[in-house]
Amino acid sequence: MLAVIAAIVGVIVRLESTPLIAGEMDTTFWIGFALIGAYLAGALTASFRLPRITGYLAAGMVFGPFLIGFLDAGVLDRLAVFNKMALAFIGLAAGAELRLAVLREKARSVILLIVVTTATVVVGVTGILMLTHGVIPALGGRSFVQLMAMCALVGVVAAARSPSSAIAIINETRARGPFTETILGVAMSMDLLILPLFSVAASLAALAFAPERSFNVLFILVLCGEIGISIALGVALGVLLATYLKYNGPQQGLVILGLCFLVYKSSDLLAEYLQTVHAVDIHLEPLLITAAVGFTVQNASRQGEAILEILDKVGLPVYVVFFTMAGAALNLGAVVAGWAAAVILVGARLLMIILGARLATTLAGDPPAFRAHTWMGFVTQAGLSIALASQLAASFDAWGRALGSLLIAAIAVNQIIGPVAFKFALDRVGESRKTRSRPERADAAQETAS
Amino acid sequence: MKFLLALIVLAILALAGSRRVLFARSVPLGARLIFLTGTEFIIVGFLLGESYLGLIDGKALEGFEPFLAVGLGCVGLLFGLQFDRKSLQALPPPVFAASLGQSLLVMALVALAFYPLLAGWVGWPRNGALGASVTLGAAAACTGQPALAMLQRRFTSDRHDRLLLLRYIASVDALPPILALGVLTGLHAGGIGGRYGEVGFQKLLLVLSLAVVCGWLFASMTRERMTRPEKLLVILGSCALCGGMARQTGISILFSSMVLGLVVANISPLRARVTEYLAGGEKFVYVVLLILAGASLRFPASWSLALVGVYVAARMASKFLGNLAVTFPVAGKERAPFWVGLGLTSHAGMSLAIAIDFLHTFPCRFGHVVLTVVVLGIIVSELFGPALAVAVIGGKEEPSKDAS
Repeated sequence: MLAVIAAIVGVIVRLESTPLIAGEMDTTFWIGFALIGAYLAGALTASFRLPRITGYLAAGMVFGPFLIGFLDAGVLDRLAVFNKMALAFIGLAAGAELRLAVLREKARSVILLIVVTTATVVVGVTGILMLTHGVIPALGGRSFVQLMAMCALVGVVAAARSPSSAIAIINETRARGPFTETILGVAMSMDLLILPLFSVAASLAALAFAPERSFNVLFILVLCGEIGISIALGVALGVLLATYLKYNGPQQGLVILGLCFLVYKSSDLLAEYLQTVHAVDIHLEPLLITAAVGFTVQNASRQGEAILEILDKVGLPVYVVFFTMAGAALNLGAVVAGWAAAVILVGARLLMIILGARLATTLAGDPPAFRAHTWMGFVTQAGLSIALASQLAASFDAWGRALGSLLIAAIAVNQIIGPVAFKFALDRVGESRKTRSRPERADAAQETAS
Repeated sequence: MKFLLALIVLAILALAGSRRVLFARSVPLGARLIFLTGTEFIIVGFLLGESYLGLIDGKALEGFEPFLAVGLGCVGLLFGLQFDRKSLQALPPPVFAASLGQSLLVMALVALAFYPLLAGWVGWPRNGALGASVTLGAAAACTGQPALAMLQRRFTSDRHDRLLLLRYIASVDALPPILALGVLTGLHAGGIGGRYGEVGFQKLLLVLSLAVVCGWLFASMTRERMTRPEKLLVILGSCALCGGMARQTGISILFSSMVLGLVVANISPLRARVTEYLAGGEKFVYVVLLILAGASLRFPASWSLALVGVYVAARMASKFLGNLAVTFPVAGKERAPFWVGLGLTSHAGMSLAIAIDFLHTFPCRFGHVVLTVVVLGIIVSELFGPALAVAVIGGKEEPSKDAS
């Protein structure tokens, strides 16, 4: 099958210079190619007991601009609309997977994991990078304060996780249980913490490089306001969606996808309007809004199972295209160019995640299986981390680009090893569908029946 | 204010389209059918589009173009899937030939009515006028199925033969229009205003070859043990591959995906399952298609509204004459009275898809005029089309189950 796909692409590539095709091939064709190619790649990785998402990412990397080049920068740019909508959809799916009852039960674990692992990763990665700054060209020739500010920024980005990858793995393995919900709860909540932390670190870094500036407290307040409004809006939309589902409204899958599109587009339009008309820099967070929508439907209505079923029906093409594009967007050139620094960063982050997760789960009194495997759920990085790395590059032109490339290289590695580790952990703790024990299945069936 | 107004219109449309209104006894069948054809979603798209709210702006539309192509692809694929050998062999060949013949005749008559009008009165260049005329003819030749499907449950069995004949014709009469669209786009592969392309038929051949290969790939990939979302993904992927190639070469997407459907229908053991999945998701794809088409719609000059009247009149006359010439003699007067063609004036989805395909392939003023005429033509046709179908079928109506 792959050979046929390769043959088709070979013929098309040869025809691109002829009058028959004349010019770059249409985006739709490459989407079809990505869907089928990535699906086959996912099936191939699944046959090796690896997550399908690894196959999608690998397909993206192979078809992306740094290797074969089918999905080049132009195609990725044209598909940005879909990417943003997919991210909002993934936020909604993640929110819908969070059950308040389970989170309440695991509240202590979730809070400890968020606080302890974030503190450990930020402090630990900052420290290790400061110690090894001699072998990382991007960090060379800075004063102590500047070096600390730069390393702290990298440390904060290193603490970010990927709810989208977590939800994709959970969907793929149909995992259910306290371990799954804890990991998801932490991954989702981390975004709330990482965004303000990054803002503080960025303000401090700006201060370190331009001492004449002052620390901008207002910025932090605005950020808190954005988060509050995003959640409130999400709750309101969640109530509306739950009502729609309750009355069995038509085209429910389409309504959910449309909602995701409207949320991201309205956020963009509102930000543009406020910036151009009132010179106010406020941007509501679509991921947070849709996560709140999903969370509200799951926990404040009886439509929890219904929404999960709909998301399951329409989700696969969204995940395949999203992760294929994520793979294609990874700068493999940066990984190759800065491999030594990337290895240090990946190693330092992994070490600190293991330490932080072990400490937090021990303090929370979690079972031994959880203590041993929780860290595996926090390795993957994707959307938010890439966005923060890009933000860093854009905000600090002089040195931001170098650090941004270093972060992207590390994210690429984490994106490859993370899903494998998380799937392994879900299997080991017995929460993936494949490994769920029979009595638990019976309990679940009873719950559903009741 | 604009946003609020749009929200109010959306709410009204949602309310009007809800089941209670759709199946309420007091609402005329024709008015209900306007909602069944999904025309309201074009209005929703128009409101969301750049012409009004701007939520689906030019950049978003550009990003969504693949969805439009995949949507058209799914419509074509589903249509092509009907034509498997076994189903075709089970039907009487004369009726099949008559269905296609009347469709060809209607298409030709409507195109002949429009060509002098567009080339002469409106003053379009010949190629543009020919393209638009053939597309309008193709759209006019297709008969809407929802009205006839709704009537199925309302008639006593003694008139079922007539109803079945109408339904049969309506289910296959889009074949010649889609083939014509394929040939038309092949001729104009260099652009609607330009010279007839020298490489047009080579492009057509390329698209056909890819559709056949994709059909084989599709049939080989779909396995019984695949989950429903996986099958959906393969369907979408195949439609995107074929649709993308068609878009790149300027060939009709409906045409290429119909060929894909024909191949799948005749070599895949899971044909029925695929049709079932597609039919289940059809509304979903169709609604997306209509919303995006609405968002890309720019209402052309007011003179084009006059063309709607011409379109409806020409279509009715052509349906009457076409069926009088072909269906009436073939099917016999018991099954087909001489005015049987008037029972086929209901208008729906495939005509819209043809107009959208034309606009998508040739995004120019001609396409906008064609789409506007077809959309408004559908609305007008649905006001009397179902009533004419009822009159042609004759006999007694049974109390409607859905009305209760």
